[in-house]
Amino acid sequence: MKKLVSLTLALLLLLMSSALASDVDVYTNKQPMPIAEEKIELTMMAARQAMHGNWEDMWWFQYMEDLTNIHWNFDLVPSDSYQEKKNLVLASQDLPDMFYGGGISKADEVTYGGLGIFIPLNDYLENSMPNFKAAVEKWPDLYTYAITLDGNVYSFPYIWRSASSGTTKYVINKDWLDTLGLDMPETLDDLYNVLAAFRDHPELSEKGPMIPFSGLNNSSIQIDQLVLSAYGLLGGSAKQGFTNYEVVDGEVKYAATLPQYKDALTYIKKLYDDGLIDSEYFTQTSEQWSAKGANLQIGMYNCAAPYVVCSLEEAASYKLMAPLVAEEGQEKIWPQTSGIQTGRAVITCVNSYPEETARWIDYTYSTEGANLEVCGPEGILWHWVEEGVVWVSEEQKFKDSGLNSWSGYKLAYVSPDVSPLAMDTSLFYDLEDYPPVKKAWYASYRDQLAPYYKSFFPDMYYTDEEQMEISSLTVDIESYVEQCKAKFIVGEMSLDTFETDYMAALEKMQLPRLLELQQTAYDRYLANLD
Amino acid sequence: MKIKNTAVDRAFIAVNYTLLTLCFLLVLYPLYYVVCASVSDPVEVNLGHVFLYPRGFSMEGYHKVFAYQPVWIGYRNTIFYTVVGTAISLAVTLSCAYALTRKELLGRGFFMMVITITMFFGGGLIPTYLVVREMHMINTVWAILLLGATSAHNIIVTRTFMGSSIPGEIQESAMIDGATDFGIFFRIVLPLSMPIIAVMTLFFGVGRWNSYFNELIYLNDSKLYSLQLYLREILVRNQISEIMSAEDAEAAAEQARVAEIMKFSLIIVSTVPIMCVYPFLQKFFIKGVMLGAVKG
Repeated sequence: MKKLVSLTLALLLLLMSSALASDVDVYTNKQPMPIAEEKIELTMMAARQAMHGNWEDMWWFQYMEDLTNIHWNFDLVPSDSYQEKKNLVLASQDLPDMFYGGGISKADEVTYGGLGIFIPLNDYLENSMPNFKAAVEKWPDLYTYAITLDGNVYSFPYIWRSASSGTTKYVINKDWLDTLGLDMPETLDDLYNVLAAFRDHPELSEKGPMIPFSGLNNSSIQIDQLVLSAYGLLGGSAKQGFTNYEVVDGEVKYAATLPQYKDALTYIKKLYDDGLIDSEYFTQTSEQWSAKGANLQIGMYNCAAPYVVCSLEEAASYKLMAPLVAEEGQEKIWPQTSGIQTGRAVITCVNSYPEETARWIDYTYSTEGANLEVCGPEGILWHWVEEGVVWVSEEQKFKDSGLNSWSGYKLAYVSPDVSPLAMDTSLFYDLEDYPPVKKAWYASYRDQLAPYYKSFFPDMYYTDEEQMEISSLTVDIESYVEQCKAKFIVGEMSLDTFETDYMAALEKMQLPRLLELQQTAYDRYLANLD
Repeated sequence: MKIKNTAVDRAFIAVNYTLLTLCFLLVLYPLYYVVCASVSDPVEVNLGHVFLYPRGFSMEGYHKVFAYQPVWIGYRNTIFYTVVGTAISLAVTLSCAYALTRKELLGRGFFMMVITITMFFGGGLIPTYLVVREMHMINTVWAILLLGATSAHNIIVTRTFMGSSIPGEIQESAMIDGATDFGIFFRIVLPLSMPIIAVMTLFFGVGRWNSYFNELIYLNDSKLYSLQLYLREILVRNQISEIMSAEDAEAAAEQARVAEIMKFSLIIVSTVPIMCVYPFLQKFFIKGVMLGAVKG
C-alpha cells in the first residue's frame, strides 16, 4: 500500500513537472535497498567547505546509512587545501576507499587510473547501477563524456543541466533605464548609448559616484563575453568559465586571434576611453566591486544573480540582459557549459566493497535521491502540497540558526550537496512561496537566455604526453594574451599591431602546435561521441 | 651641569624625532587600521571609506566571532598546543644544547654534524608523512606536539649561549662541591640561562601559535584543529563564480558576507594574546639573539 502511494505520488509529480517531460523514468529510485545485509564500514576523503557542518551529523548521511546499511567514516580536509592533501595521500598510498565530492581532475583520472589506484567503473555503471542507466538513456552524453582514452571510466560523472546554471549573466538597472526613457539594449550601439546616458546622469546614483559598468578584468566578472557573443564568438573568455578556443567549421582556432576578437577589443576600448567602464576595472578586488554593487552605484554588471550582490528588495531594480548583437538581424548566441562534470567521486583500489560503493552512489542518479541530497527531507526546507513542491521559506528553524539563506542552513545541517547526480531542472521555477524577485529572475533565464544557448569547445581527456605539452604551452600563451588584452584596452598597445606584432609573438610561442594538439584531441572526442 | 645644545644638535634631534615618529606611524597604522576596520561596516571598508576612523560603527563582527563555536575550540587547542608544545620544545632543546657544551660528551662532533645536516637537507613532506603514519600519530595531538619539537638553529643558538656565558669553571667547582650532572644542569646551568630560556620560549611559543601547516596535513578531526586552521577556513573563502547557479552563489555569497564581517575582528582576537606577551619578552629576545650571534 505504502509503495503504491509513493508510486502514485511519483507519477503525479512526473506528470506535473513539465521539465521532466520525457518517456524515461528517471524519478524513482530503482536500486534495491538495503545494499548490504551486514553493516559495512568504509572511509571517504572529501573537501569540507567552510559553510559545511560536521558531515557525520548531517541528515543526508544518517538517512543513507539507514537506507543502505553502509557506514561512512569521514576524512575531511578544508576545501582550500584539498589539492595538497589529496596529492599527499595519493603519493603516499595512504588511500581512503573513495574520494567524494569533486576535486579529482581529468589529469588525475588519467594518471591514477592508469596506475590502477582508481579502479575502472564501466562494469558497475553498466550492471549494478539501474538509476545511472536510466539517466544515461535520458542524457546519452553523460556516459560518453566520462570515458577516458583507454576506454575506461574512472569517475562518477555529474550532470545538472538547467536554464539557470553554467552560464554567465549580465544585469542592468531597469529603473534607471525607465527614468531616462530608454529601452533595454539590443545591439552594441544601444549599449554604448545607454551607458553614455548613465554617465551623463550621475544623479541617478544616490549613494556614490555613478559607474556605468564595473567589473574586474581577468576574472569572471569581466565585460568580455557580452561583447564577444555579440560578434559571434563563444570562445575567448575562459576566465568566465568558458573557453579560449573556437571551433570554426570543424577546425579548432584560438579565439583571441580571430578578427571578431579584435572587433570586440576595439569596442571595449571605446567604452573604456569614454569613461563607461570603471576606472578601477584593472585594479580593484572583487570585494571592492561587490561593495560598489551593494551601494547601488553600478548601472550594469555581471553576477550570478543581483540579489547576491545587493538586498532582495534592491535587486528588483536589476533586470537580466539578453544577448546583444553587433548588427541588427544577426543571430543571437550565448554560451552555456555542458553541465557535466567528471571527478565527483572515484573508488580506489583499497576498497573491498567497490560494487556496494557504486550502488550507494547510484541512489543520487535518480531524481528522488538527487532531490533529497540537494534539498534535504520533506519538512525541513520544503514540503509537498497538492500543487507540487513548496519551499517553507519562513521556517523558523533556519532563521533561528542565524543563517540567512536556506542554502546556508542546508550546507550546515542537512547535506553537503556534492554528490554525483543527474538532474535537469532548476527546482525553483514553480515554487509557491518563493520570493517574487527570485521567481522573476528564474523566469528571465528561461525566456531571455535559454533560447540562445550554444555549447562550446568541450573539456576533454588528453594523454599524459599531450597534457604535459598543452600545459606548458598554454601558460605562456594565455598570460601573453591576457596581458595584451589589457594593453590594447588601455591603449598601451595599438590595435593596429594586432595582425602583425601580436600574431607574430603568438606564432613564436608555438600557438600552431597547441592548436594541432587540441585538434587531435577534438577529432578523437567527436569520434567517441558516435 | 646642563650642557646647552648647539643649533646643530637641536636640528639633529628634531630630524631624528621626526623620522622616528614617521617610522612609528608607519608601523602603527596597519594595526590601527585593522582595529578601525574591525568595528566598521564591511561595505564601508571595501569602498575604501575607512581611513582614519571607523565608519558605520558596528560590533557585529565581534558578536559573530564570540558566537562562533569553532573559534573557541580552536582557541582551546591552540593554547594547549602552544603551552605543552613549548614545554616539550624547551625540554628537548635545553637538554640537548647543554649536553653539547660538555667537552666530555663522546662523539660531540658527530652529533653536532648530524644536527647541522638537518639545517640543509630535509626529508620532504611525503617521507615525513609516512613516518608519522607508521608511528600511528596521524590525527592525534602527538603529531603536532612532537613534530618539529626542536630545530637545529635553536639548538645551536642555545649551545653557543650556554658555552660562552656560563664559564666551565663554575661547573667544575659545582662538581667539586659534589653536584651530580643533573644537579649541575638544574641548579647551575638553567638558572644562569634565563635569558636564552625566555628567547626560546618566545621563538617556540610564537611559532606554535602561528603554525597551521602540520595541523593541516596531519589532523583530520576538526575537533583537534588549531585556531589558525579555523581562521584560514573562514578567511580563504570559496570564490563566487558568476557562472554558478543563483542558489549556489547565494550560499557562497553568504559565506563571503560572514567572512567579511568577521575578518578583522578575528585577526584582532587571534593576535591579542601574542601581542600582550611580546613586549615583556622582547628585551630578552634582542639580548639573546645578539649573544648567540656575536660570540658564536
